[in-house]
Amino acid sequence: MKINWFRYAAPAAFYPVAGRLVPVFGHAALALMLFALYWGFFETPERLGGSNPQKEYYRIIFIHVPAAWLSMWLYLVLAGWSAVGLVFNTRLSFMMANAIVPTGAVFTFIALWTGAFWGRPSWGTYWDWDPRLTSELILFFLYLGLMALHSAIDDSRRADRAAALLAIVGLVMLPVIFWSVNCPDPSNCAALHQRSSLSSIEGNILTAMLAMTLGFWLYSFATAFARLRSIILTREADSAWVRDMLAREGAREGLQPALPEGAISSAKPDAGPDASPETQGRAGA
Amino acid sequence: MLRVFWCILSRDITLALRRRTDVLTTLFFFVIVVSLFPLGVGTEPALLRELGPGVVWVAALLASLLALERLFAADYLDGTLEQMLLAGQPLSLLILAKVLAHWVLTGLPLVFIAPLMAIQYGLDKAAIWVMMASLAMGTPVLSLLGAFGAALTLGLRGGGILLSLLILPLYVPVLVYGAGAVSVSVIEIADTKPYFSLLGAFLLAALVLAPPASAAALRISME
Amino acid sequence: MRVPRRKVARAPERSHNSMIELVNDFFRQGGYAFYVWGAFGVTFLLLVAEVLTLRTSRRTILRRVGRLARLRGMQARSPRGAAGGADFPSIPSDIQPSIHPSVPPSVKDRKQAVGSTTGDLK
Repeated sequence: MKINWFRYAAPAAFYPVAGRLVPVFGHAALALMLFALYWGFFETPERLGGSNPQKEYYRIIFIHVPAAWLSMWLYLVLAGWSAVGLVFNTRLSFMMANAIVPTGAVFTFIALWTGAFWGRPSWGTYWDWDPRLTSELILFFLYLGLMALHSAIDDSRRADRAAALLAIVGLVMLPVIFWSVNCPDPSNCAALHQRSSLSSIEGNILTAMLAMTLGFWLYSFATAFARLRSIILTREADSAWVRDMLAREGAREGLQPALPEGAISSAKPDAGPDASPETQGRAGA
Repeated sequence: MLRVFWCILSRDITLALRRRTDVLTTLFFFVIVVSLFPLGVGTEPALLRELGPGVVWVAALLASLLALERLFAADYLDGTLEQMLLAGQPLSLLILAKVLAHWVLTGLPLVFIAPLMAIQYGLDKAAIWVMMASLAMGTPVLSLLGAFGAALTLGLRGGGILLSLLILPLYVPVLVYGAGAVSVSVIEIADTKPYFSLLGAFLLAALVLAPPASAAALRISME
Repeated sequence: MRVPRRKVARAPERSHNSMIELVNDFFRQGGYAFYVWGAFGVTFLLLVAEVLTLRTSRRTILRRVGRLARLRGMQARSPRGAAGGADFPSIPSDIQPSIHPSVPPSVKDRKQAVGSTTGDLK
């Protein structure tokens, strides 16, 4: 059986698929996040840890850790799509990478903010250059750099490819940066984040944390697809399929604005898709 | 191939020396920034000795960044860069030549000025040697990484600031270990060995990986 | 660490009393209310803000692209014809972005292809 891997690589083909997926992922994400919140607040003990337990504020773990995981995972994903785009020269891959960046930046910021708010009661200070938080800060700068570079370039093709290359180089540099911040003194690495493994965490806490991670992950799918749809609309504005779709849906969604004055005086408003030769002349897909 | 390398290198250096002020302003920027910090944080000697390595390194970073905009800009504007892309020679080699010229004009002078700056911060002789060595190994990496950034932001308005935003995160490892080497040398000079190993590793990796990445970025910017 | 103390109203029925206490305890979070709710609150706000931003930007884009598409459709049917030069004098200038001069003339400009001068609606 021959699978056409590139069937959905056309923006026009993926646009409706993404449209159907957004509410699915959105609702699932909401359900999971609510479950995780309930479980985290009501089914978990009031203290975390053995000898020197953290008090109720440890509950911040339920958003801090998932947000940090997602921030790193989303960067990996967007670098992956960037690579796919550069190798196969598919526009949609670049658009997808571009759609993921803001969500990744949001999660990075959440990780930093919740980390600071967790640090204040437990370490005594909002920020103290803990290696993991510092690396998270640099990851935030990388996301900002991606957004800045993409918006600074007007030509969308160059913007896509430049941002893609930056994402990949950033990905290669990330372990080096993380490691250098974690170990500024090569002979002696110390960090405030204790070396902890997942298996040592109490069951209910782990459940809530993993549930929230999954919730965040599904949320990122939903927002990325929604943003992707907007990007597709903007980029493909000239093409026939967008025009046809808007003519059909515009009437439904009630998005028919008044015609601007000074437009063609003698033209009649178009009433539907037109099969005339000019669609061939302006097929910009 | 070596002839092409030499040709580009000598061309860039000759052109830059005709505009000596550009080279000198970078150097003076470095001097001013380093001199400004004690005015800001206070002149207590112990504090300055602690801060010295970091401050000198950050100033070297910033000075390097300043000079990077000029790496490709002039050639881009008059079309020479396009000719380089069309030439049959490997673009990585040409970029390496340009980066070497850039380093000779901005990084190397920093290495020699650093002792004067170190004296301002009260660092002792051993620390000064370590600082020169770390700068000598670190500034080429800055130029190499910077070339990638300069290629990405070629011709963009506001390119200088954008370049800084993109490249400064990538500079962090070099900064950490370069400044760290000097800080540690104050305590015990033998401790600097792992730092230099790491700096050397960065240099080798950058020499191999940065030119092709910059070449890719250049092609993207110029198509 | 200063722990805020709140007086719980003493109601006659005991079950109602402990319910209020439970809710109060939940909001107090052992005295760390500021940190816990500060963290959760900002997270919630950011995620909601992201969703709302997406909604409004989608509406704006639909309106703008829809208007553009409709105008193009009308223009195409007008006597001026479609496959001609890139002159659409009656399109309002705010929805026709200008070509920025940051691209040097030696670069191939495929954006100057027939009719599609607005390929960079960002």
